[in-house]
Parts: sequence; structure tokens; C-alpha cells
Amino acid sequence: VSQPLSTSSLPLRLWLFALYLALYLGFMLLTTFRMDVMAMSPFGGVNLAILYGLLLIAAALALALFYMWRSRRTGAASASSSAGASR
Amino acid sequence: VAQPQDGRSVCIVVGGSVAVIYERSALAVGIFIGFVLLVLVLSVWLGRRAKSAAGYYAAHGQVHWFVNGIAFAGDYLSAASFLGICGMIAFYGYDGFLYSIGYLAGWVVALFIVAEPLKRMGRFTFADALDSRFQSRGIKLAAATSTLVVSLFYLIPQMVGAGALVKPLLGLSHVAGVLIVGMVVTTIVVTAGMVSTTWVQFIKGSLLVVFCGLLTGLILVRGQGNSSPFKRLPVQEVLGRAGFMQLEPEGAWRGKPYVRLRDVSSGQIEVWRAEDQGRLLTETQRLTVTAAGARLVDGVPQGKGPGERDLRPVGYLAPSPDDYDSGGPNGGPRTGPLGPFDYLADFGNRTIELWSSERIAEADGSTTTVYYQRLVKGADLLLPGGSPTFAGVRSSRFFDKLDFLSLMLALFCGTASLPHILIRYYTVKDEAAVRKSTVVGIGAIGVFYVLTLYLGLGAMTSGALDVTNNNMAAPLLAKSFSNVLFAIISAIAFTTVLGTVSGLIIAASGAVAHDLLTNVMKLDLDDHGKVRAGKWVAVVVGAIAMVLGVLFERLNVTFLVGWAFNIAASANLPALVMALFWKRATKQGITAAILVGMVSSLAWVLLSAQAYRDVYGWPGELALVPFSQPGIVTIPLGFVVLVVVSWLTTPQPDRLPASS
Repeated sequence: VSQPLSTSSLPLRLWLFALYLALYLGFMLLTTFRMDVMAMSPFGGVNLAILYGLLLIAAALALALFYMWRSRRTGAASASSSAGASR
Repeated sequence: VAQPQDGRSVCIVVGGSVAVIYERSALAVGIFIGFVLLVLVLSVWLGRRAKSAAGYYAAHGQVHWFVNGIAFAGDYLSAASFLGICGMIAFYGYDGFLYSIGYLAGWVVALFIVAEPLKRMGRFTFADALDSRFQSRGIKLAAATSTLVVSLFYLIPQMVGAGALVKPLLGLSHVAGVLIVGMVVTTIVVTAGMVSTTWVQFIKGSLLVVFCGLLTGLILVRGQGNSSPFKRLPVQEVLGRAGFMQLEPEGAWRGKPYVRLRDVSSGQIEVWRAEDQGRLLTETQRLTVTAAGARLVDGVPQGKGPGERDLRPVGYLAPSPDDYDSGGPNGGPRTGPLGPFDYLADFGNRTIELWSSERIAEADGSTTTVYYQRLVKGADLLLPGGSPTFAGVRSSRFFDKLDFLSLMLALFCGTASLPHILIRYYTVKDEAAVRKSTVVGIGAIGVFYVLTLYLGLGAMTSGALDVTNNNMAAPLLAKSFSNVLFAIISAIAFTTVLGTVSGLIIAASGAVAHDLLTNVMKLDLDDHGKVRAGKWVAVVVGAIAMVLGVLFERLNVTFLVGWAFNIAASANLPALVMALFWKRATKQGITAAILVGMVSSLAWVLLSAQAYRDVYGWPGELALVPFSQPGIVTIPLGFVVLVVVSWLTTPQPDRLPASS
């Protein structure tokens, strides 16, 4: 029995989601409780608040691209199996 | 218009009584009319292809994934994103960028959690997908209601924004702006439904990203460095001038840090603000509205003609607070072109002259708004917490911090729960296309949000800002480069409203015509009947949007977008996630979660300090809830209600479509 939650791509999706969630939570907690850390500039004279913000935007795109690339590689197999299941 | 005092000014006086006089730009009007005509012709031409319900509601599922991805950006990047975020950064620094980060992060939830199952299980609306396992009228009714509530909350700021934009940009009245947007958008939706909506959003999304990229390039090439024309002088220098007489503080001026001087020969009054324990006096600008309604700037009639005066543009670098009385050069050294990181690093080393305002009710019945300078270190502006909205993050009160976390959570969870975004998953052909278009959307939206940081900071030191209106930061930044660019950005800002509003109207139209009429009330409509019903609903929703846009003219409405995210996340996300992933969920559980999430978050925002202050005009301290953003409480509440109610009710045999 195939459920919407049991397609082959689910584990990867959830892993990527969990990774991003951890990044986002880290940002929220640092901002809320450790503004002094956010004010540090690790390199280039730009502070961590800006760098972390840009990282969150870049990470969303990077994870999305990685997911698309992986789905394309495994896509043929899963597409045919789900088509088979529905017929 | 309520404008709280001293730095707490929640900014944006939408369509309010205070404004700088703009010159109407014929070019902006021309570009805007050209765009509207293009869109209308395209709609009518595409209308021939959208005669069926599948065409009207979902563009036949035939939209190319790349077009759909850019249309996601056009749908999502509303006037609040473009003008609101740029304005917030230009006036308060980093805090606007927090919205950028949260709005983008929400797409991760959309892509990894809801996109593919939603596509697999639904047809035209997200109620379809929620309900595909249950065939329950209760779920459809609840989902359609929450779609309507969220869409209306989202519509109000868009429509009011349209009115507020049209006044300075095109020189028309607020009502005219609202009516133009309402009618153009209704026409777009009625002619070709999702087909034309998609193309409008595609064009708008591309224009927005391309021109914001161009503006950012110009900012970096211009580099940093200007000098403020506004005076900051040692107190003796101001008071020592001949021919001026100092006025006694009287009435509302008493106890305020202002020094008023009358020019004995002309009778004009100057107002200076005392700073640095009274050692310095800084130049102010003031706008007085007399009891009879006349408008005076610094005591002279407001206008551009001889003998008249207008508020001067702001947005300058200041000398550092340590040496401003040593007479150092204003602004510091000018750089040449800067790289993207160098620009930020340089900004952190500057001191910026920001402007706040204070209202003073005079004894003769007139009201004076005093705009005064305050110097802020660039490094401070590049950290969160500088604006009234996010000030709580620097507070030591636990509930203030919770308010920030709650808003960031709502932004994260809200995107994947917005009905007008979710319906875009039905306009492409399969799950692979859903994935690819979401990735394109994230790319376009992500690039745009990075650009907002530069646009906002660039506007902050553009020397072109309107001290009364932070919504105008992005167009005025463009004006600091050229009038042609100003016209183009203004026209794009206006079309931004068109793209988002058409998405909202078609989402509402689907909720009423497809979910309520067809599926809940079981009206027996054939395919043509469904399209006709959808079009009538679009006309009605368009009319309601226009009425709301006029009614709420005087309200500061930008925070309504935040509320819409909170309500969407609380009502829709628990139901969506659990219906897609939890086998034990029952139809009663889903229905209860939507209703409880919607009602609790709605009640919370209506009882919040923000609503008290900005909507009802009551003191915020009287509010019944401890902080303004409900998400951190009401999103988990939705999950809890869903689980508890599902356990208490009997599940029905699973009826999964397609895959079972």
C-alpha cells in the first residue's frame, strides 16, 4: 500500500528540511539571546547577523537545487513505480 | 493617523494627511498605462484558451515550470515585500531584512513538506488536497472559509498600498488608485482566470528582479559618501546670532527638548532640537496643519512656488557622534565603486543621520509634526532590533522576545499555508514540474530578498528619502539616479500590486465557486457553470477589495500581512501537514484544527497591543494578550486540537486517490 508519505523521496526531503530548520532555529536563538555574537564580524568586516541571513537565503537555494538534482537522478525510477501503482 | 511619539513611530502613514508634494511624472504614467494595456490585451487574447474550469482555475495544468517558478515570485513578492521591506530597511536598518529571511525560509517548508503531496492529491484548490482522503463537507467548508479570511487580510494592505502609491507616483487620488487596481485586476481574472494571472505574475516577477538588480548595481557603482545639508551646531553658535529672539516654551512645547527662535525681521519661527545634554542644537523640519486645514512647512505655506516651502529630502551620512562638535567634515570620505561585501563593511563604519518625528498639538488648534535628526552608528543598523516591530528582541522582557520568535515562526510556517501560493501547484503538469518551479521560485525570490538589503541601505544614504513616508524609499532611491529609472520603478511598484491581487482574487474565487458552491452546497454546475460562477465571485471579491481599500485608507496596514501569515499558518499548516502525513487523522480532527487555528489566531491578533494601538487607537498596554504575534501559541494549538479530536473520533476507511 503506497501512502503519500511513503514515496522514495520522502526521507531525503525530511533530512533536508531538518537541516534547514536547524539553521533557521540557530539564527532565531542567536538573535534572541546572543546579540553580542551576532555583532561579531568573523571576516571581511561584515557582521554575523548579515552573514547568517545571507547564508539562510543561499542555503535555501542550495538545498532546493540539491534536492532537484537528486530527484532527477532517481526520478525515472520513482516516476515509473508510482505510475505503476496508480494504474 | 496615529503616530506614536519619538522613535516609536510605526512609520508608514498610508495615504495620511502628512506627505511631501511630488511632481507627477508623465513618464511613470505612460509606462504604467503601457503595462496595463499590454496585460489587458494579453488577458483577452489568452481568454480564448481558458473556457473550461480546468483552464480558469488551473491554467489546464499546462504552464511551463520555469514560467510558473517566476510567477511564484510575481505572486509572492507583494507591495509589502517590495516597498515595505525596502522602506523598513531604509528607516530602521536590519529589521526589514528579518522579513526577507523569514519570507524566504517559508519556501523550504513549501518545497520539502507540502508541494508534492499537495500536487498529487488536489485538483484546483488546497481544500481539494486536504479533503481527498475524507470527502467531508466540513473540511471543505472550513478550508474555504480560512482561504477567504486569509485572502481578505492579505488583500487589504495590497489595495490600500495601491491607493497610497498612486497619489505620489501618478498624481491621482487614493480612491482612483484603488479603483484602477480593482478594475484592472478583476478584468484580468475574469477574462482568462489563472492563465492570464500567471502571465501577469510572470511579467511582474521578471521586471521586479531585473530592475532591482540594476538598481543594486548602480548603488555599488556609486559607492558610499555624501554630506548632510542639515545643521548640527554648538548651542552658542545658534543662540549668538543677531536678530533672533528665543521664545518661552509654552503649551505642548513645555518640557520638550526644543528651542524656538523668532526671526525678528520676518516673524518666522525656527525650531531646533537640543541634544548632547544641551550642548548641541540640531536643525528640524516641521509640518503644521492648521485648524482650518492649511499646510505649512517651517511656518511657510507648503508648495514648490515662490514664497512656499516643502519638506526637504533626507538620507545622509553624519559625522561620528564623538566628533560632531569638533567641526569635522560631514559624512566622511567618499568611496569609489564598492564590491557587495565591501559596501556592507563600509556601511558598518559610518554614522547615519536618521529622522524621527514627534507630534505637538498647539494651543490654536493646529498640529505640528516635528521631524528631527538622530545619529545612529552603521554597525548598530546592521543588527536586528532597531525598529518598533522587532525592538522586543533587544528587550530583557521574556514576552517581548517571544513576540519576535513568534513572528519568525509564523513567517516560516505561513508561506506554505497561503492559499494563493498553494493554487500555483495545480498549474503545472506533474510533481517533477512542481519541484522544478519551486526551485526557480526560490532562486528568483532569494535573489530579490538579497537585493532588498542593498536597496534599503542604499536608500538610507541616497539623500532622496521622504521623511514622511517610508513606503516610498525604493522609488525615491531610483530617483536619486535618474527620473527615468524613478518612472520605471514606480510603474513596477504599481504593477506589483496587480500581480499579487490577481492571485488573491483567483484563490478566493476558487474557494467560493469550487469549494463552497460546488462541493459544500452541492450545486449541480456543469463545466461552463463553474467557470461562470468563478467569474461572478471574482467580480464580487474584486468589488469587496475596492471597498476595503477605500475604507482602510487611513490605517497603517503593513502589519496586516504579518497577521495574514499568522492566521494562514495557524489555520492551514497543522491540517495540511497532518492530512498529508498522519494516517490516524480524522475528518473531525482536520475540521476542528482549521477552525480552532483560524479563530484563535484571529481573536489573538484582534486583542493584541498592535491592534489596540494601530487599529482602534487605544493604549497598547490594555491589550488582553501578552504579545502581538500569535503563531508560537496558535500553530502548536492547531496540531494539539487535531491530534486530540482525531483520537476521540473514529477514523473512516482510508480512501486515498490515485496511489491506493
